[in-house]
Amino acid sequence: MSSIVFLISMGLVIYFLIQGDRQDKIDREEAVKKNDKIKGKNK
Amino acid sequence: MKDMIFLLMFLPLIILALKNPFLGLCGWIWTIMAIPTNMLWGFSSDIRFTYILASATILGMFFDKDPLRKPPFHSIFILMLLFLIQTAISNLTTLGISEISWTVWNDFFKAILFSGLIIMLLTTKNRIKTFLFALLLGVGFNIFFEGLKFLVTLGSYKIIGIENSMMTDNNLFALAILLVLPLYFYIIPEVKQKYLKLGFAGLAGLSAISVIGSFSRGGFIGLIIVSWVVFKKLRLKNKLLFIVFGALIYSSAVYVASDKWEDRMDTIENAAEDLSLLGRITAWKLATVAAIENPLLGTGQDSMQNHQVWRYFYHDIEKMDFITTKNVSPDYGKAAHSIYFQVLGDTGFLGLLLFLLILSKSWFLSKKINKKYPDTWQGNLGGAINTSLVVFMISGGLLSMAYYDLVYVLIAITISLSRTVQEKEPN
Repeated sequence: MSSIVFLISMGLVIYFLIQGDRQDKIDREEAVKKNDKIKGKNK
Repeated sequence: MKDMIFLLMFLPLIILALKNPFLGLCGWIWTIMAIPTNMLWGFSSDIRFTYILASATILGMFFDKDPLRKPPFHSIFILMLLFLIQTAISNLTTLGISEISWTVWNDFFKAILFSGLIIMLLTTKNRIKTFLFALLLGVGFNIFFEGLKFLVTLGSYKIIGIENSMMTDNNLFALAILLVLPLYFYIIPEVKQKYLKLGFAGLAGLSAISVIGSFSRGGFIGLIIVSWVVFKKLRLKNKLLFIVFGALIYSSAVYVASDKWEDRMDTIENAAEDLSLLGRITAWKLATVAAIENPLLGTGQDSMQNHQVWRYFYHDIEKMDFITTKNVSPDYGKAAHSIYFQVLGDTGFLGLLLFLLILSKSWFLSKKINKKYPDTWQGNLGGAINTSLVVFMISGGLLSMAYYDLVYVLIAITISLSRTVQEKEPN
């Protein structure tokens, strides 16, 4: 039983990491756009 | 077979760490808290999973042009670095066994390195939330099994801690649980899926049971603190639910633990006659004597537990005679059993000052976030970490856990939080 729960715990972590990675892509794109905007203003 | 499945599942973690280092940090904290090597007996039990993930994360940082990454400069982190340097200098002149002092330092160095990476990489809500999921699932795995074993065996199973971790005895495991318990209460309303809410609520309940099952007196005091703080913050309807479930968990855990547990807790009232407590007070006296004789450097990490060092300072214990409790035998060295006296003996008054500054500044910062941004995720998380720090500062007064990595992780998350709220503020 402990092995099953252990693998479920690990599976859940991987699931959350993949979800986190998806959202992170969006956050990164927004950060790049924001930086470009600031650079544009400075020019 | 299990080893093979585990390795196949571990591989994506390495790839994710190389691709996006913040994910490596999340996998890293999961391996620190879940201790996968305790579950493996085959060929993979010797593999250093934490080391592999740490290397992949740091390597990934060289190649990943992360626009969200920030430098780790913050006054609290600088204090942490100064404290790390202070412990290193103390170890150079250690009075104990050099190897032991440097082993402790090595773990402490990793904790500070990890904290620095958290400050650099956990810069958005999504990143902090994902990290918390990994942390809570990691420690939750051990809480689940220890709590369940205690309940199923009707209290005859004694929770003695987790092997190959920093939670190696019942007191340390109880403190680790108490540090994450406020985070479970924070994350429950944050998740949308009902099954996850239930899962985290179940883990919070099993956390309370595990603390009771650890027979740790310091842990029990911490549990009362966490329960009180959580209770104060709840709405009236949830307060009633909390009382019903709290009473149910408490009575069932105490019932299965029966007389042994009550006898143990009764010693809190009869402290003056308790040999274990008298041993602690003797250790506190000796740590103070050691610091008076070595005010700037102390004796080096973990030196006071060395029999020779203990005996050396025992000769001067009459300096502390204004504290009238009986001293225990000088025949063996004893751990400080207090984060404050541990640091005082190990690193002297200078180290203690740095340590207290780190704790107090982190406490004020988390309190400030909680007060200034009520009903926001940052405010709620700041409040949860603030409770964890209070528990550490009070329960830690009876435990030798000053260099515990989880505390520095929580402090680093507080720094990350303060940066996310600063970004929102108008200039």
